[in-house]
Amino acid sequence: MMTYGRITAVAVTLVLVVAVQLSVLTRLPGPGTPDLVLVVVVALAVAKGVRVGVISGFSAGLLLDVLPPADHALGHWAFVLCLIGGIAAVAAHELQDVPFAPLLVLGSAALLAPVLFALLGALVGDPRSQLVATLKVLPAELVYALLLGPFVVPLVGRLVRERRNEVFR
Amino acid sequence: MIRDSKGNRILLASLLAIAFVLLTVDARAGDSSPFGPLRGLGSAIFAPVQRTVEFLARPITGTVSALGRVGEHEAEIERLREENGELRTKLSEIQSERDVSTQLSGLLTAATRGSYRIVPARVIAMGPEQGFSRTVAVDSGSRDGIHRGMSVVTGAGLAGRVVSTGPHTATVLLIADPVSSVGVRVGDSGEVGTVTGGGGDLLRLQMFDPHAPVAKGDVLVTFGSLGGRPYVAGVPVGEVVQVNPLRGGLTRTAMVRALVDPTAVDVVGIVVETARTEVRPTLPAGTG
Repeated sequence: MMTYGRITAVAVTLVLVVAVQLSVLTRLPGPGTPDLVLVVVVALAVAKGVRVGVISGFSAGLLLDVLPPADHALGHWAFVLCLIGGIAAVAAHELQDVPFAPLLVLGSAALLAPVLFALLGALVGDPRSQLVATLKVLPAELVYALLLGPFVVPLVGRLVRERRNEVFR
Repeated sequence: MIRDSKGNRILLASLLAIAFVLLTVDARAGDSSPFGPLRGLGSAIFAPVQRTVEFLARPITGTVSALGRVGEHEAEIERLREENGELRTKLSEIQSERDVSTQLSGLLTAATRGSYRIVPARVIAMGPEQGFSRTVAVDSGSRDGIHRGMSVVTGAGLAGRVVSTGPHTATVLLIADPVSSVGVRVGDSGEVGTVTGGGGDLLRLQMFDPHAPVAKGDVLVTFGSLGGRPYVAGVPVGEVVQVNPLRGGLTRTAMVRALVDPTAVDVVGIVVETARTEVRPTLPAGTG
């Protein structure tokens, strides 16, 4: 269980990450946008387990849904990131002994999240959902996630680490 | 890590259920969603964070933009003022080419030439591309006199319209958004159609009259609506790059390149006041 101090630290981190995502990363040119929010949520899930992964995914997703310039239905990202957080935590646990497990989980999440987003959009009748456009942007998303992963995952791990001698896998 | 897995499963299921309910309620309700005020509240609370982050990151976003594109340096506001003047001249030129009777032509030209009052604003955030929506947040809001439905322009042409406001920020739906549709006139012929966003800088034009003459290179301007909301009349929107062959469809379509690059919007002007405040007199039928 996390201390209140650590919970605050994680909450502040999520707010900052969402702000950076919307104010900086989306304005960079190039195919697709690096999804820093996704990487941080997966890193939290891998480091601290299902509960933290699910709650931080839900909160980060809700922030993405509420903050300007969000114009899509509220709850869309909350659902997707909550589910991804849960899946990532379970996958990380199952793949404990596999080398580079966190990166594997991150890569899969980077491919899964946009597809889930598009499918959910189609399910609730969002006129903007385009599965084909999503598939085209998947390779770029994978590359961005794998580029960010080696930096972000250890940083997040350090943020939430409990004991000084815990080996971070 | 999977201690208390049943508890975790229930947590996951509950949160997913909550998110799904929020999603369906908001998606169905559309504009009258009960969550509208929540967005305004979120915008009010987090606006300082967003603006600070954007300000701090300006060296990075500025450098990357400069590397990727030609032009667009500092003193954008000054440039916008200059281009605003040019835009007004262009508007007069385009309008004078329209094929309407001299009486109506005089009325329209006098009413729409120049005198849009514009509030300048800077883009502080962009919606993520994976979300398909093409929206940006700008740093002027209801406290600056911005309201839903106002047109948003740049020196190049129409950028979009305001869809929601917080006290100090506004969310702008860009014309590149698939949900955005703008009524337009084709420059030379004055024929009327609608332009829908396609996610990038290419838009799709649909002409109401399938036999309307549309050619590559035609410039489209906004048709305009009552009170200038959601779009004021006469603002350049884009240029036709490809006319699709009429394959037995009921309408003619064409691909249009938007004059405003959706990935490069930075400084914009929000039209808060249009010139026409007088009531247009009705003309008896048969007046030439």
